[in-house]
Amino acid sequence: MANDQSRIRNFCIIAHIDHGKSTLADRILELTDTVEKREMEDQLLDNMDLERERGITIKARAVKLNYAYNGEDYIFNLIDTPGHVDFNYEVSRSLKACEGALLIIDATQGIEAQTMANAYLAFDNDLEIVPVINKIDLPSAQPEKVRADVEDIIGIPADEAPCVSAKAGINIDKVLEQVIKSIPEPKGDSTKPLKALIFDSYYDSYRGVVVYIRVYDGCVRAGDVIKMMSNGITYEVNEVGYLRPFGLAKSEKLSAGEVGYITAAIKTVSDTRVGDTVTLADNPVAEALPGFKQALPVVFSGIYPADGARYGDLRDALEKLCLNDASLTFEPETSIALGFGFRCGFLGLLHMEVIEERLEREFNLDLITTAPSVIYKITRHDGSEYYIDNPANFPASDECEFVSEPIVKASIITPTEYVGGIMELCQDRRGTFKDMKYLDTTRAELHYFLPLNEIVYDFFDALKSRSKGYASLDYELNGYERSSLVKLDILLNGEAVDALSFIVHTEKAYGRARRIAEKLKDNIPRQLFEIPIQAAIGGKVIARETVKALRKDVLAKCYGGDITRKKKLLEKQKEGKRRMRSFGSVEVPQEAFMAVLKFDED
Amino acid sequence: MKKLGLYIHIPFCIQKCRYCDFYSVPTNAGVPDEYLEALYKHMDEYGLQTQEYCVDTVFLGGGTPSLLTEKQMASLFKKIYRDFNVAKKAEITVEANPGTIDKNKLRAYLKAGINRLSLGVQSFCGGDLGVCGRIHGVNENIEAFRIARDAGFSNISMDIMFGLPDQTMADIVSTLNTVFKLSPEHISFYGLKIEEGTPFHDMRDSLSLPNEDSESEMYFVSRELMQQNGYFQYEISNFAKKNKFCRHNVKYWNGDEYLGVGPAAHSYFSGKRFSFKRDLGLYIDSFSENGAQEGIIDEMIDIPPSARVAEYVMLRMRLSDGIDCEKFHKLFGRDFDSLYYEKIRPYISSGHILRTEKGYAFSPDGMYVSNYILSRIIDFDMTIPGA
Repeated sequence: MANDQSRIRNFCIIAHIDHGKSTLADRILELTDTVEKREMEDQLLDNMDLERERGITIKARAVKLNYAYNGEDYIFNLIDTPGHVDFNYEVSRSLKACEGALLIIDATQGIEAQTMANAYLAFDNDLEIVPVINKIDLPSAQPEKVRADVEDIIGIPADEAPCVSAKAGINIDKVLEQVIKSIPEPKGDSTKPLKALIFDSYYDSYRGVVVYIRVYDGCVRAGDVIKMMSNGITYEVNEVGYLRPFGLAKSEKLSAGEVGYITAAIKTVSDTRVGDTVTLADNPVAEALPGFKQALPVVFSGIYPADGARYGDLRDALEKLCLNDASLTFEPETSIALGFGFRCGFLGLLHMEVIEERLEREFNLDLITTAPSVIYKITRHDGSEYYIDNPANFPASDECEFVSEPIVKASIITPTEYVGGIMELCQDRRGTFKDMKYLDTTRAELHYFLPLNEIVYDFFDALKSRSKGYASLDYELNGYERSSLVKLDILLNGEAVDALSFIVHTEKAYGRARRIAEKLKDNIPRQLFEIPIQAAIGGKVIARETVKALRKDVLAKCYGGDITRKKKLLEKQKEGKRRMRSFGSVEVPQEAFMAVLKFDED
Repeated sequence: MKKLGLYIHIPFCIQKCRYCDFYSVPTNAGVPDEYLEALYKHMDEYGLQTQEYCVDTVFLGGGTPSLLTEKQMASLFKKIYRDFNVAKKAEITVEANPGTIDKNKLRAYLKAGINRLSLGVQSFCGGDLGVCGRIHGVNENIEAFRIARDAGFSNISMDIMFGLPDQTMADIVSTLNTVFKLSPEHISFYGLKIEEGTPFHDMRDSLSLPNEDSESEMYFVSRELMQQNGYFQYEISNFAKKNKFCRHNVKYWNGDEYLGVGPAAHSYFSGKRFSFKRDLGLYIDSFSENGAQEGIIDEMIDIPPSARVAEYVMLRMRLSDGIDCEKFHKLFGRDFDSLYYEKIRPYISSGHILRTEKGYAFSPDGMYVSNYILSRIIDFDMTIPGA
């Protein structure tokens, strides 16, 4: 029965963030009786605490479900996809593993930037799209308007789109009916050589890497010798099986059309790249599946332990995270200011935040991070080029011909009333306007070319603040452009703090310098001496602030011999000091590093 | 005979002042006798434990201890003298608030054995007193002092606060000038600290408080004025005419032993620091006829001899005498310099810590940033083997 492809449906759920993807996944799990209600924890597919808190899916997950419809037993393979632009490549690979996609649209919000981006990705992968209109239980829901928008803006028929409330469990069965009726069955050939796609993997300390695959053709069994087509490495399969809501279920084999896992004593996830093709070593398929690429980091930041003694712990933690995240890169870096740490590369800002939070939470580390940087291209006088991702390596103006910076093509969808403010913001962030179209009477889609450098610096927060949270952003890299950039150095008490240096466009240098000097002044506590704060470009000071000397830090009264209280106070102060870094005689708290990175429009 | 300080907490006030986070409950009917009964039972126990001690300071704090009637005070002291070996020349202080005392009461207090009065006048500017929610005005402050002198008190202290909402430098100078005219023996000079759980804390955003710079200016100007008028600074917040420092409070800074009775009272006795819960009802119940004292302790911390060093440095450095290296060596068997010199050196060169004839002390500037410096030189986890 399991090999009868006509009873298999492989599909994923795609949506803009917060449109209810994970909640719908939960309801589907309930309805398919795969998970008893009492076992349900909200958003079952999102395993990480962080995902649950932020309501986002960071890594793809998949699960095999059983569903009986009109007396027939069906197998659903539901593949959850990451919901953020940083993980676009991973999304595209997850989509590749499916024949269809449920496109969820929030009936109160309508179509947004990632709705479009995800729909286009699904088109590109030849998926059958089933629109699902969610949150119809909310008073502000406009399902009919959304239905019309889906047809007009995305251009797919929506007359049969189920209107549901994932939260209230309304009409979920209609969704499953559509899955069976609209999404095509897989059409593989089990007699052909094995051809399977890796769409996710994770490291398990007992089994090694667990590789999630979609089998297109052929079969794979325990004992088979498989080959990764991108690098030619071979492994003997230990185990194959299905992905069940509460773990792995061993099976005899995986055949064409099926989704499941293999383990093969693989030591690191970087050997099992998402998008790679798995085949049999002794009977390989002639051609790999198209579209494989290695996801490359575009945003870089220095990560340092707040307590220098925990450098080793930070390294272990990063190594562990890398076991599960092939797109995270790190290499040792030394900062005069911060000591030993790591230069880490991320797919984007969210990826960076997620990694930092996981380091702090799961590994109990206190971190100091430097301003995120992008990769700049430096052209020497002789025309040769090199790339830098660390402001410390930025050349002096006479040491290079010119510098180029990465540009992204950004799409912003916003209610029309915020268009003016957003255009102003893009202008301010050195954006080049490409075009704008009205999606309907209330919403517009703006296209801009923007320097990535401006996006990594609080652009997203500014966008949210200017649109009361309604605008959404999607972007992709679009090459390099020559630009007038300088390195801004920050000096405390006359000494440059390398960890606070960053690269900025000439025209913005003065404003940024002044703001950062002010923020540092507000965040560096008064100390026994006056501390000058200076921002300088190549030795020329362009902004200056002063932290006045401490005048008062005393516990005047000790109530009736309450010595313990005073001790606790001093202990607390000591603890605060431990979280500070000393630069010469100046102590700088971790918060000061954070503050200079934080969003604060003027 | 070992020396001991005795602290008695009287947790009742006619009305809570807006800045105050000391434990007290409002009352219209004075101090209930059942509370005194509980104190007596508590003191009986302590009396048995302190047979080999000589009590050389007694301090009645509050709250408002001057709510005790003449009769109550007499009975309390009768009890104190019966339970403890009170030294002949013991310093016996009562805190008294203007508006709760008259000449007869103070005479009775004197007769009961009290020889030092700490007057909670706080300010001699009417505006300040109103802002703080005090029940007395400027005239009552002056009157209270005169009554105390007339009643025969020759050792009087005044509590003065600065850094109050809307208070100006001129206000504080004018208050001090009045203090100098009255000429008490001792001044406790406290900067306002906004404590959680007080009305001031709730209204902190609407209070116009002096900033760090003007507050420290008030402190240093006042300090100078007090010195000029014969008040020697012996502790961060305390000033006294010659030899009139508060011996009870100095015990705290010296690491000497003291026992406290009453809810919220703190003790340092027999190598332990402990305090009782801020709960009057619980306290009275615990020391009633069939009461049990389980659960009355708020906190109890063992201070082994090896860990006393850091505490000692923290406390002694509050005093303008600072650390006496020879005494330090006698107490801990270790050389102060070998333990601390490297740590304090930067602050010596910056002028925040001074070398004295006998050791080290904060300079006036250093004293006012002492938390900053102490938190960088003291390690409470440091233990000294064999100490």
